[in-house]
Order: sequence, then C-alpha cells, then structure tokens
Amino acid sequence: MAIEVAYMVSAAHAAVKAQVARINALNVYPVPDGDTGTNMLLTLESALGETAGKSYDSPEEASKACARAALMGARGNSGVILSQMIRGACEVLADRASLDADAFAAGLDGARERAYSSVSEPVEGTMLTVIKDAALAAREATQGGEADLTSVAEAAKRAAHDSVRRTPELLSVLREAGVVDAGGLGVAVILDGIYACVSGQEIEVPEEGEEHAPDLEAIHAQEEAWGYCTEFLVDGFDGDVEEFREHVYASGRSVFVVADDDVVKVHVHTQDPGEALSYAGGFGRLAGVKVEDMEAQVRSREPELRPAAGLGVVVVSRGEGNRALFEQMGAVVIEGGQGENPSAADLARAVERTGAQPVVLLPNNKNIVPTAEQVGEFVEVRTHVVPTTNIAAGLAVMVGYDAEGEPDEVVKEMLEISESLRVGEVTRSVRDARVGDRDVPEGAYIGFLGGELVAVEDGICDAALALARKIVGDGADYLTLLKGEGLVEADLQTIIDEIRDLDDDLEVEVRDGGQPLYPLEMVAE
Amino acid sequence: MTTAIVTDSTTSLAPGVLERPDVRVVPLTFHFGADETYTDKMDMSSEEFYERLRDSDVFPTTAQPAPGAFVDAYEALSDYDEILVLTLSSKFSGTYDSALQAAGMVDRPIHVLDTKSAEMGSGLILLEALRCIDDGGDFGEIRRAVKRAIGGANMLFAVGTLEYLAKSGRIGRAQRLLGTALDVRPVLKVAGGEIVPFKRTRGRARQMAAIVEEVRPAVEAGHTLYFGHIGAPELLSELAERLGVEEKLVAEIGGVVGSHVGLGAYGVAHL
Repeated sequence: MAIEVAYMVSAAHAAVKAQVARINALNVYPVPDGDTGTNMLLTLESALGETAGKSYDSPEEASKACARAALMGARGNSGVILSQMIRGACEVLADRASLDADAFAAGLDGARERAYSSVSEPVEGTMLTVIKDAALAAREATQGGEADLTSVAEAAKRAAHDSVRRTPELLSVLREAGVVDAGGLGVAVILDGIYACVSGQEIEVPEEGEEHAPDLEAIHAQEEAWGYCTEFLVDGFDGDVEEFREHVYASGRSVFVVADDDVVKVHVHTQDPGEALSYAGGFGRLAGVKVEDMEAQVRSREPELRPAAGLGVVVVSRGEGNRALFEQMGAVVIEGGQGENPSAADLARAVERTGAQPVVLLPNNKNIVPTAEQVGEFVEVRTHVVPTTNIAAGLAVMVGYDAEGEPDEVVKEMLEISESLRVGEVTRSVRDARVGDRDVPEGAYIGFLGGELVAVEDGICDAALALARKIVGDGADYLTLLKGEGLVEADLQTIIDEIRDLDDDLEVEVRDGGQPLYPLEMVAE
Repeated sequence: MTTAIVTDSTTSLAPGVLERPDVRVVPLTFHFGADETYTDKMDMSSEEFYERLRDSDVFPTTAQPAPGAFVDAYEALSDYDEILVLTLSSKFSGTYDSALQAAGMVDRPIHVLDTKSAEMGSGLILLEALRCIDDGGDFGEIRRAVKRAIGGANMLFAVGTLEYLAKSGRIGRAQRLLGTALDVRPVLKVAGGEIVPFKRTRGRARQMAAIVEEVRPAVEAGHTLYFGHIGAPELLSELAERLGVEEKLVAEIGGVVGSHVGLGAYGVAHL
C-alpha cells in the first residue's frame, strides 16, 4: 500500500499544481482571498515531500507518515480540511493490503468523515459536500457490484465535478458572487489526478526528472535544525539505484534521491556528510556538492532565543509597524495573513522559538484560526488559541498579556478581551460582486464588521466612517485605529477628526501598522 | 496607661487627627532639583504642587526624615507611657529605618511598625489605632488592632502614566506593565508593602470600572473607604458615584507620594 499512497499523493499534487491558478481565481468574497489553490497545493506538497520515493516497513507506517506530513504542512482553512481528508483516507488504507475498488471507496469515506468532524459547524456547498458526494458515488458503485478500481475512481470524480457545479445552489455567497466553490473544485481536481493515476493515463507524475524535483526550499523551511544539509549529484551513475537509495535513507533525515537516467540527485541531512559522499563516490562522479551546517544556520537565524518564560505568545501579523508593536509587547511574530497563510508547522516552530510554556496563539485572521488550532498536535508545550480575526484585535488582546502572570488567568483575561471586542476593517473590492443584497463594484472601499459587509463606498473616508459608526454604535468607549498600506495621512486625519465628532466620550488611539490589503483596521472595546 | 502615635507625613490624615495631642507627624521632603527643598504637605499647597508637577521638566525627588526628626517627636511625647510609630512601607522609603534608628537613640522603648502602605492605606491604619486608643484599649490591644489593620488594608489606584513610578524606582512588580506598545491605563495595587500590577486597561472608563469591580465587595460589606487623588477630584467623585458611596474621607495626596505617582492618579483604600 505504501507505493499506492505515494502515487496517489503525487498524482493529486500534479493535478492541483496544474489547476492552482484556476482554483485561486474563484473568490467567494470581494476581498483578495485567492489562496485556496495555493493552500491545498502546499498541503499536498508537504505530504509529497514525505512520501515521494520513500519506502516504508508497513502500509500502516506509510499512511501515518503521509497523514502527519499533510497535517504538518496544512495551510489555511482549505488546507486544514484537506489534511484531515488525507488523514481519514490514510487511516483506512493503513489496514488494507492493496488498493482495490472497495479500499478506494472506504478511503473516500474515511476522508469524508474526518473532514466533517474537523469543523465545528460544517457548511454545505463547500469541499465537505464534494468529498461527501464523491464518497457516496464510490460506495454506490461498489455496492452495485463494481469491482474495477478504475470504474469506481471514475464514478467518484464525476460525482465530485457534479457536486462542484451544485455548490452555488447550496451556498448563497457563491451564488451571489457567481462562482463555484474553490475548495470543492480542488477536491474534484485531486480526484481527477487520482483517477488518471489508477487508470494508467498519462499525467504529470512527479517521480523523476528535474521539472518535478522536490522543492528543496520548501523542505528547508519545514525541517528542523539537525546535522548537515548535504546535496550532490552522482553523474554517470553505475549501480543499483534501489540499494543506493536505501543506504542514503538509512543515513539521515529529509532524504531525497531522484534518479534520472544516469544522474542521481541526492539531498540528505546527516551528521556525517563525509560518509555519505564517500559512499556515493563509489557509484559515479560527484558533482555540485554542497554541505551546510543546519544547526549553525538556525543559530545565526535565531540569535536571541528567549529565556524560558512562563507564558509565551505567537502572533501572525503583516506590516513592519505591526511587527514592531507585537515584538515590543513580547510576542514572537510570524509573517502571514490574508492570502498568505502560515502552515501549522510554521506556527509550531514559532511556538518552540518562544521557549515558553504554555503558549498563546493569536492568528489575527479568520482563515488561520483552524491552522492555529492544529498546532497543539505537533508541539510538546500546551497551546491556547485566542481566535482574533484581525491584527488590531490581536494588539488589543496583547494588552492582557503578562509573561509573569499566572498563565491560566492571563489566558482567560486575553480570551475575555477578545470576546469583548468589536472588530472591523476597510479593504478594497477586487472584482464586481454581489454580497447579500448589495452590489459591490470593483474598486469600491468596503467595510466589514465582525466579518459582515456593512459599508460600500467610493471613498475610503466614507467607508471608514460608516464602519466606525457601526462599530461604536452600541456603547464602545475605546477605539483603536490601525493604519495600513494605501491610507494617506490626510485621509487618516479626516477620519480621526470625524470619528471624534461622533462621540465626545470616545477615546481614539491610532497606530501605524503598515499591513497590506487593509488600509484601515479598527477595534472597539 | 497612655499611648501616643508617631507617623510620617505620607500618611493621609483624616479631619481632626492633626490637632490631637497624642499624634505627631514627622515630615518627609521633596525636591525640585538640587536647590529647592519642600516639606511634605506643608511648604506648598496641593494646587501649587500639582502645577509644578505639570509644568516642570524635572522629576521631583524625595527624602526620608533624618532620625533626629523622629527623636524630636519621641521626646515631645515623653508624657505618654507607650509610643507606637507607623511609617510608610519600608519598600518605598527609608523612613522606617530612620524611625528605628531614632528609637535606639532615646532612653525608652519605642514600637515601630511598617504599615506596608502609604497615604490612604496608612491613613486608615492610623484611624484604627486612634479608634482603639479612644476605646480605652491597652497597649497590647492597640498593637494587635494595628497589626490586623496592616494585614487587612487594601489600596487600589489608577495612574495616568507609569512614567513617574518607573523613574523613581518605586514601580516594583508593576514593572512588567511597562513596555506595552499601546496606550494602557494601569490599575495598581499596594500589597505586601509594594506596588503590584492589578490590571492593564485601555481608556479611562475601563480603568475606573476595574477599580469599581474590585472594591464593590468591600463597599457592600460596609468597610470604611479612604479616597485620594493627585489633581483629579472630578475622577474621584465619579468613582465614588459609581461605587454608590459618599466621599467621606478624601486625601489630597502630598508632594512626596505625588512625586512618585504623578498627576491625575486617584485611588481608594479600604480595610
């Protein structure tokens, strides 16, 4: 089964890679949220990095490794759900000797089950519905006596595409925006890849060759600091590739051995690069040798490891100003946000970098909340997610942070602040769209309050004021404005002056955050 | 058996206390620069002090009384059988040490107690001592009552800025409230003789709400409250109103504590 898992992951990866732009382009809101395809691709890339070309002792081990890699690399909301699908499928396949029609149908059902249970409030018309319909079609086919794997896979992918077409009927935001669900399309595309793979059709199988060589940069970003990163080519390779591969795998971690005719490319993290090189030298001429001390690299990258403190904080943020504000308050900052979701592994590394126990995570974006919630599975330390939905909210919550306080009480305080906030932001529509009963023309300034569209205006000042009126409407007495890219000083001053006129008792604080995409974020307390 | 009390000038004095023959107050001093020395609560009116605090670009400094000032006080009370000394927290000032040294310089036993508080907090402790004296308690009873009061006194206060406490080195564990990148209005507490952080809040309204929430149980239990402020009488009135009490005891905090806490601070102590 190990072989099949690796094949299916690489087929799914290749299929999504070919369609990533198309999936990204399906925005359901008029905000630049076009990273669904990217998030799914990166999640698959992580699973691929684990399984490609590897051999495992047992199907169970292979499936576990694959599921874990997907979970570790999961990015964004769609990536997290996809990782749960992979996990569900792997759990089922771990017990199967081979991939037959029944195992395939059972795997899809496992994927469906995990995906649904991973979200607290499943919404239909999304990738959940698509995997459900695909699993159902596969099960119906096998129950109808179909024993041919290819036919079952075909039934599943057809059902998936039909399901994608129906997503606008189930989810009004899609209907209004005139699109199908991006994540759902991603699932159907993955099933296309798997169908092509099991049917033996020509697809871009990233097994060998430079074009599909594993993305070493991504791997470097994922890996821990251990040993020496050793890369080289063996030119004019003469010998048994499998034997060579096995030896290299046994010698270290993060191993990739990619064979192409008589050139074999090797990437390995090992404590003894000399041994790896002299062994490989026996098979051909070495070229492009590169050895780097990973531990020293990481040491220089992170010169100031914090002392083990009581409670640590990891925040996801964008903008230089915001970074400085968070760091000044004692948080470890990782870059990310709208359209640039960090993976669970990124967050896990940042958690470890705090050197603290426990650690609070502030995702500062709705789509990063689910990723943050997965981090606890990968780190030794206890983590708490305070589900902040924008950067301004994250800053307000940091006011309750006290590294030396009793951790449980501080976390409670931070959660309480978070719940008491009214959170809004102004952004710009990137396309004509219809949201609820409103037409939103491209280029309009739009204000969201708690994720709901509450203002559509031609000018930024009007949008900011309309939002401010709503946000302080029911008794807020403190308003923090966070200036982002695309807001000029004169407009900011106009906005501040007019907000002050709204209510004499309102205290207004302004900070320059420099976040992109949102010229103005605000949070009322 | 008669008992007299010596305290220092940072203790808030309720009306009538200063006039009592069995109470002596030993002043601390504050200084604007090297050349200007003022006696706490005597040489400068509150209004004038607040104005100096607002306009001056130097931070005032303060000084504990010389032991000799305590010796004078002890000697002036030689007619009393026992002398009990109540000083502000030894973590804020060396006044306690001066009082102890002075005790070694006179030829009679002197009982020096650290109130572990200041202003309204030590003001309430002093009131408790006087109540016990007036009730005809013997020295042992008075001493026990004062110790109970020291253990039970609570003081919460709001500052406009932590700058003064930080500069004066009296910030204690509230140090960790510093360094926030946003405007924060801290609520502080005096506990165990030092300033400890109680809560970081944003905005005046929330700052006051935090005090109200914490003090309300004491109000409901009928405890005596002692209010105090540094140039912020209107905030104090608002606090009393929100607590639903009259401002019976109000201290205009003097130059010494004011130098460390800064303009606009206000708070309340209760036993």
